[in-house]
Amino acid sequence: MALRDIKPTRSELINLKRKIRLSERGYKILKMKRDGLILEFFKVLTEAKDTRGDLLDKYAKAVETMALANTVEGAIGVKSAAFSVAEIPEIKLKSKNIMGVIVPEIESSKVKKSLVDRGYGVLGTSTVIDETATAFEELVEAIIESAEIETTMKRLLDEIESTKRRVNALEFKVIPELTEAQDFIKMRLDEMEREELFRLKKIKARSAA
Amino acid sequence: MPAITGGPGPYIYVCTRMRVRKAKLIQKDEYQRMLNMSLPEITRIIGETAYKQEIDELATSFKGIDLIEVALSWNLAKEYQKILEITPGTLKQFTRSYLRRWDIQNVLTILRGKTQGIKHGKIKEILIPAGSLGRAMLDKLIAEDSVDRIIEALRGERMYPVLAAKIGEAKEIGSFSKMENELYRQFYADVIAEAKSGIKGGELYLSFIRLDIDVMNIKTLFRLRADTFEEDPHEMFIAGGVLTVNDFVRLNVIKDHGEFIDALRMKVKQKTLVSFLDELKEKKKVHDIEMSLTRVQLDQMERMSKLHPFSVHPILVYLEKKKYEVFNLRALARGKESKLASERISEHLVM
Amino acid sequence: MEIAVIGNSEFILGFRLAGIQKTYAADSDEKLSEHINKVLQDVNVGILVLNSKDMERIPRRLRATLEESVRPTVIAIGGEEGGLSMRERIKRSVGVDLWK
Repeated sequence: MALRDIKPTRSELINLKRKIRLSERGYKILKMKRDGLILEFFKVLTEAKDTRGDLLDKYAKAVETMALANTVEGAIGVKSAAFSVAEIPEIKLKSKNIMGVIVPEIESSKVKKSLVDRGYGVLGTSTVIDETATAFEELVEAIIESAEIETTMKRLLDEIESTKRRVNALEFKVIPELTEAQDFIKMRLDEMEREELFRLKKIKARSAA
Repeated sequence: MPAITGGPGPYIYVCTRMRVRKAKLIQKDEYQRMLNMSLPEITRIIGETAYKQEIDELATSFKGIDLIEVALSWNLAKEYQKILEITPGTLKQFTRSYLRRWDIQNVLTILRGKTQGIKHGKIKEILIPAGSLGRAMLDKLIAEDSVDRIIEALRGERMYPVLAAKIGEAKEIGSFSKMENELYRQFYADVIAEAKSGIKGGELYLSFIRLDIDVMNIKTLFRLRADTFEEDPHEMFIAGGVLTVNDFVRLNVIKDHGEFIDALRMKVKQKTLVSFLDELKEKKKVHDIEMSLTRVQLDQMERMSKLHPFSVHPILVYLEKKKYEVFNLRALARGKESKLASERISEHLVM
Repeated sequence: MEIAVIGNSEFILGFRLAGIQKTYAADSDEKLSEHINKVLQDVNVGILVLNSKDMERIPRRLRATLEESVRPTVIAIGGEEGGLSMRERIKRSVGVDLWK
């Protein structure tokens, strides 16, 4: 708001004062929201680090058992067991609300399966296949968990960022500009008052003469 | 090539050939040496020995570790077919029925590959035509465009009745696993019926198969124990061994390890298996148990074949040993590729 | 909804064993982008699993789409990479390096 566009009137001043009050209140609330979100984020962060760590472990284990399965059964055996059509892990995306941020809640059908429910026959395979399948089922569970939590983090971060941007805008742009305008009007009004007074005095002096 | 007649002559001939072939298999100390080699060195050794021809033939279509694996499988299939050719009379019949196990694996791979939309070439790569269904027949099956057509094309084969009876259920539950188990059960039932049909030498064939069934059932019991779910083990039980289906189910519900071993020990009469179980008082990992059971089984088979040097035993022992040679070489190559430690690989070798 | 996995044939093999159907073998860069775009269009996919090594090979714009995507949520495994992009985001949004 360029200063020259401002009409230095009393009503404008009242308007500005109201705007400043509003902005300051908004600023406080947004700051609280930002702090709240960051607090919420910290909670999720610890959890996210844990699930990431867990995910890395599970992946390492899955890769290792796969190497073992390849060693024992050969890629041929593993591939033919993996061709099996089995029950597909189904996931359901629901949502929940953290301080106005919609985050996903992922529900999944059971990933772990018993020997009977796996797609391969027990009699034609060996234990390493069981171990590999179990390792990957656990990995998939960890992935589902990570997906939920990492999306939550992304959403929270988005919200934190936009809140922060708004807080900063209020703090460093909107409020200072409004205050500046207010000061300008005040100054102009004072000046006008002084001019008026001076003029009155002049008139009075002339009429007295 | 000997005429297909009975009589001791051809038996002695073929069993001697088996002994010669068996002697040519890679020995324990060679495996030990190979464990300390790098993958290229192992590849070179495989390419220079019995597997040279396959490596050369396949080198244009495959590379690296896949080349080794496919070459090993093809060699195994070829070797089995050769054994069938030189085996006379009833021994041939037994050998052929024994090798039908590979048909199950191949047909299921095709069915699964097809239902998952895997490319023909990819399916073909992982077949091991070591059974009665030859390469041409398997190619024909791969070319069929539906599961039903594949099964129809198998009409007249041993596996057909089970396939036809079970395919409906398999489609409904979306898994071939029950069908696969059933095929193996039927395979053993067929083999037993054949061994018992009064053909000369059937008794010895039967004893060999029974050992196999016992080992399979014990392995399955250990696998079921490792699994955290409670499940109905009926479909995984193979009849014809020392365990009855009731024994099997009862053993499966025993929670305590020691109790389970004791109960199993009471049922198993075979001496080597008993002493094997005695060593299992302490808990071990399932695949260690599985590997040692395989070793026990092979040792026992070897012993049986020495007792009956002119029977089906030496042939079957050779088939098994050859199979494990292929498995071992594959394990060495795959293990080295995945950078597993030598000790780790050696745990999975059958020597 | 389902989980989808894209990667080289070795990477996806184990996931097949765990019962996941939507596995796509991508052994070349073009295939990789092609499959990713296909999966992004697939309304039935809730989670997309990628190999971290592949993440680096994806064109930048597509990678940015993946990093921001919530539906499907993209999870990269097999390295620190998944953590890294998250780390950058946290630094940007919160202003402090909190990851690790």
